[in-house]
Amino acid sequence: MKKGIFIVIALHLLLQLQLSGQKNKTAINTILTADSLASGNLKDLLSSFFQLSFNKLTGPSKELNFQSNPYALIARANPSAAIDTNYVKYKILRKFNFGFGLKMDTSYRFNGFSSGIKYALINRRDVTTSQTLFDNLGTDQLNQELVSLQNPLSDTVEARYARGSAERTRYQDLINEFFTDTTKLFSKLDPVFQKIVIEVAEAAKLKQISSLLKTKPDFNIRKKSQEYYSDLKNELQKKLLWTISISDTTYKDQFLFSNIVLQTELLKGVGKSKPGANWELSIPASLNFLDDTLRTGRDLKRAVFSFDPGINLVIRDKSNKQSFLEFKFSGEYRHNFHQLYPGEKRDFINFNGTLRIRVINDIWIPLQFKYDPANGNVFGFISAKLNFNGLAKK
Amino acid sequence: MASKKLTVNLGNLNLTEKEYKKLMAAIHKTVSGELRTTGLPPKNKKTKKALAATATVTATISATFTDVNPGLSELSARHNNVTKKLTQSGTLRFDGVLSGDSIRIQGKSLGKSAISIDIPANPPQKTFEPGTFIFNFNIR
Repeated sequence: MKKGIFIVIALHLLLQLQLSGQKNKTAINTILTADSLASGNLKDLLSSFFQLSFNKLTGPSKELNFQSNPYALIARANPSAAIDTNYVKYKILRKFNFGFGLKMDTSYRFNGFSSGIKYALINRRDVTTSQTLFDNLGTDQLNQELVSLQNPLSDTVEARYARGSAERTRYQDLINEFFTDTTKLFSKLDPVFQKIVIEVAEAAKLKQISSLLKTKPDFNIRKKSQEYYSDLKNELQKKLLWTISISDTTYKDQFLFSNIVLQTELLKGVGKSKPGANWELSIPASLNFLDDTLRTGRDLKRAVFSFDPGINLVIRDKSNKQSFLEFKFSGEYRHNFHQLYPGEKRDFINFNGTLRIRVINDIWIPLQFKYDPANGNVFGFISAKLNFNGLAKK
Repeated sequence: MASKKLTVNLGNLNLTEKEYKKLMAAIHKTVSGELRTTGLPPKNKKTKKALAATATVTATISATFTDVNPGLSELSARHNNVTKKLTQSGTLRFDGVLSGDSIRIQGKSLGKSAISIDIPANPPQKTFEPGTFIFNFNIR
């Protein structure tokens, strides 16, 4: 176990080191999507495309699970489903997740199938449907000034250089480079063009742009203008997500359910968003119907209620706001509604911790710890979760 | 009045034989007529007319917004002080578009935006990740 943790942490540090080395070269053209900014905890709760996970690799009962979103699969087969006029028709499907998996014992032998569905009753984190986010988008001073700059800048170039002249063509193209190219710094653009932009911005009394262009020319306007959108998306990641799910597991030798779990989970960001870290409140509750092994035959008469409220600390890279390390701490209360086994307690308390490390963009390694205060036992599990936004088309 | 040599730099402008003859005729007419009477360098009245003779076209701009609900995207296109808007995937048409013009695009979307034009322009199409966008279709 210790060895496993050490390897994972060493691998993570190595990758972070390598990534930070590359950061200066690649930072300028990195575009962050809502999906890339989501926490690992959120991705475990609701997958946007699909997630492949290898759970409890070091435990006695191992799992290989696949979780996906049916809309994402439809959109993959039929890209026109993603067009806004069609997208709205898949509102219900977008809120669903389905999954299935294989259970394995310590020797990786088949130990039963599992399957389940999940539905997001409330998902205020969906950036594609948020009217508030849309209304606020582009309302910051920089974006407002950029909108005000486009016409006078284009008019100036077109008035200064004759129709059909090579200069007109060149400067018209430079306007597009200035507004859309994420790879070029303002200071690296044509010096005459730089002068024109500053002149026009000053004449139009665009204070923020004028000041930026004159005092800090080593910036990219396209990247700078998208920062406000990233901040708005970050705020949205604090909103409420509430899911309900049902999942089951079969026996290894018979297609009969060995357990059925009804679960609900609530996720909500708390406190003020800070550049480097934020907190998430995670409140799952479940009712697990199991086989009562004291009775002959197979049934689901044993019912165990579990409530596991916790708080998740999300630590983000300040430069790109991506979560790279998370720690979740929770206290678990379990209550057995059914007849107790010899020596078993009706109520049970556990303390749980999950350390999630983002190894690379879509791969998370969660390390789970369970502490039983009554017996002083500590259990640890290591898993691997691969989140996919889509399949590469070549 | 002392005689002066007139040089006209056409830059990158390609003229057909007919347009060239028309332009030359206009210059000759101006020089032999108006210049002699006013004593001032003529404004390129006839020259402008000759350039304007190149046909104007209708441009259709298509916008496709994906992974977003309709109404949560906005596109505004402006040409010669005429502004047209879209709030979901669709097309906009502009008449009287000339080579050398620019059609100014600006907007925002919570989804991905793909915007294209059906006449020769630079760029012929642009795609944007969610957020705001500003660019020009420079007509060639």
